[in-house]
Amino acid sequence: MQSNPLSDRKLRALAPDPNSPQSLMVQFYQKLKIAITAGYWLPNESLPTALQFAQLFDLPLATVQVVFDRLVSESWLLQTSTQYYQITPKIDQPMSHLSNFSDLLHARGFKAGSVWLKREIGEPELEEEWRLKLKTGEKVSRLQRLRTANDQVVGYESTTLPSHILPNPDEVGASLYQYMHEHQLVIAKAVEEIDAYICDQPMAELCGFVPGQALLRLTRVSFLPNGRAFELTYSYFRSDYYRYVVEYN
Amino acid sequence: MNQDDADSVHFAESALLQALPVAAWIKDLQSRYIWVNPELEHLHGLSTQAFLGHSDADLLPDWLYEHVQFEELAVLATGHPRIAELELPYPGENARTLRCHRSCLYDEAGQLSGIAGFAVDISAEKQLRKELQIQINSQSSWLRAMKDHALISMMNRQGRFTYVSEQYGRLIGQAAKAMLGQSRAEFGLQPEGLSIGYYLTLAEQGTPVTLEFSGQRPDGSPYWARSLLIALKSAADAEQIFFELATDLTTEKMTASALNTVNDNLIELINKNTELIAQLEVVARTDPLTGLLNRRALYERARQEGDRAKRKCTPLSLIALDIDHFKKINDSYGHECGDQALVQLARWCAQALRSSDLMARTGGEEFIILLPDTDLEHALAIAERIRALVQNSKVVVEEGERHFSYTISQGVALVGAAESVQDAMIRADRALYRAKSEGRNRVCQASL
Repeated sequence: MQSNPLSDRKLRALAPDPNSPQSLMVQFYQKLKIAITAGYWLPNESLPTALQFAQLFDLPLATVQVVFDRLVSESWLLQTSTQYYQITPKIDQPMSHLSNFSDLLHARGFKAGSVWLKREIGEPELEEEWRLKLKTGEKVSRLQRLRTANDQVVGYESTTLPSHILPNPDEVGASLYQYMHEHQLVIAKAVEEIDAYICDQPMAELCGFVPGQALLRLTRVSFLPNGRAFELTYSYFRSDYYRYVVEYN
Repeated sequence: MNQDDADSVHFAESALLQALPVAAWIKDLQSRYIWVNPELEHLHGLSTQAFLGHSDADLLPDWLYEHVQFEELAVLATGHPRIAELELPYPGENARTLRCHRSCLYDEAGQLSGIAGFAVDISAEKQLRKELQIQINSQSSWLRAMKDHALISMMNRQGRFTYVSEQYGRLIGQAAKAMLGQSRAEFGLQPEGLSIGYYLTLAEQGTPVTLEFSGQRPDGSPYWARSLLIALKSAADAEQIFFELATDLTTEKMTASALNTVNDNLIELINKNTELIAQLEVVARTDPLTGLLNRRALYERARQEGDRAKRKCTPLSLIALDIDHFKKINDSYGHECGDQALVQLARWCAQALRSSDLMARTGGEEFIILLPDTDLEHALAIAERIRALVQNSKVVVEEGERHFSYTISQGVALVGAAESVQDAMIRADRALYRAKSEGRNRVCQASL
């Protein structure tokens, strides 16, 4: 940690402009929020305190505190002690293209990781049979893992593939996409559905989430160039740490 | 390098920067423009004044401004340059796509001082990429496959056509009927350097063979194609039928080669401009209003001149100069006239100074003039010449409608043998304030 965080000149870019028609509070809120997502502070690094910001930019302490409180309630910041705040692994997922979860976390300075819970071959459930258009009697390979950011669980992911596509689930290393690439499994099209999911007891025990917590569930089905569905993935993310951003042109 | 050389290099650098074929800019730490080139002005359809002192909040749609803020803060956060694409919805009906390069700027002391950026217009490249993607997509679609199936021919062992579809004929610009019985080689329908016989022999061994060939139609237009050759009978059979299934690659190849050209141009452009961008720093040494050196550049040059004077044992003098009652000019005629007064002062002084003299604007209406090879007596004379010139001149504004005049106060000091130029500046400044307190419009000599 720096001895004097205020000596850092990049902080000056966050100064609200008194000549702007927008209120100083709104300007500071927007700049601080963007700075948080743009990588001004690393995980485990404390932001300058509200008092320091107030003195640096000549703002009322109450104004800075309102902004801090707001960013905490939106889960962009985490209060670690009376005066200190740190960034959280919250990410924005742009909807327009398939973004890699690990890359998004990595860009924010977090170490993305995963912990395998299960890699198995089994009988398909009704939903898997339907989503993957399985033939009667066809078996599936299932991969279940926890997604982590700096060893904190942020999501749970379950992927199902027809077992003729992935006969040996243990062959998949850290990245399923790498396995796909190595085996020339090209995603020609993918469809993603998003819905809300309330964390139930088994999921809470599995992931360490709070029962009753709102989760974001993404259901993705990927198709090969020959038109066959070959991957069904459910991702459950803490809704406070995960946002979907959609741009319409 | 002597002063004239340095001036002409400086001039050349400025001219180069002005002529940059890409939009370029410098912003301060608060994200306000402090320098823009004509390309950026042209891109936005705005004048320099609309940029300087303003941030993109005033220039871009709100949704783009947030993106720019993010990119700029990310550059500051990491200290690493970043490249991001930006879609400008105006001017004109066509959206422009810009590839923006941004990097941190540092001042003399190595302190972060702002952001420099330049933008390459990649609209054409993007359009071509899109077209190529459409080509590639349709290549794999069923519709395309159906169409491709019609590009077929059949050959015998001698490589003479026994069947040619109409579409195949059209592809290479020949009448299908006229091709029957003719040899492939006559139409150049084979890869360079290898005879068709080689491929037919391979195909006859049981594996389908692909070949790519290209040529010109009789009307001069080029074509490209990829063919799959299949032997329908075995090598032992008396008569063989080779079945050829061709795919027209013409549009795809043409788009790809156009894209390559665009990419090459782009790479060339970026390579050329990285050097120019590095020189942006030089522009940061000039006061944009008067074209004089700014404070930072002055200190640098003052040190050089001080060293040189000591080395060569020549005298070095300097003048601290300030416009009298400048606030009144601003208040009664407006800031534009105030600016005009500053610009004029730079011109008048240029008349009274030699090319080896250096003039810098160090603050609002404060200036420093460095006079190499000049002793105190001559420096006082030069100051007096400037004073008289300014007193007797008029600033004409509003297209000759109005005019006003003003006076200046000056403090003159000779840099002592054991003294730094900076200390001499402080003495000159004190003399300047004495000139002010003694009634202005006069020259005072600095006390030791």
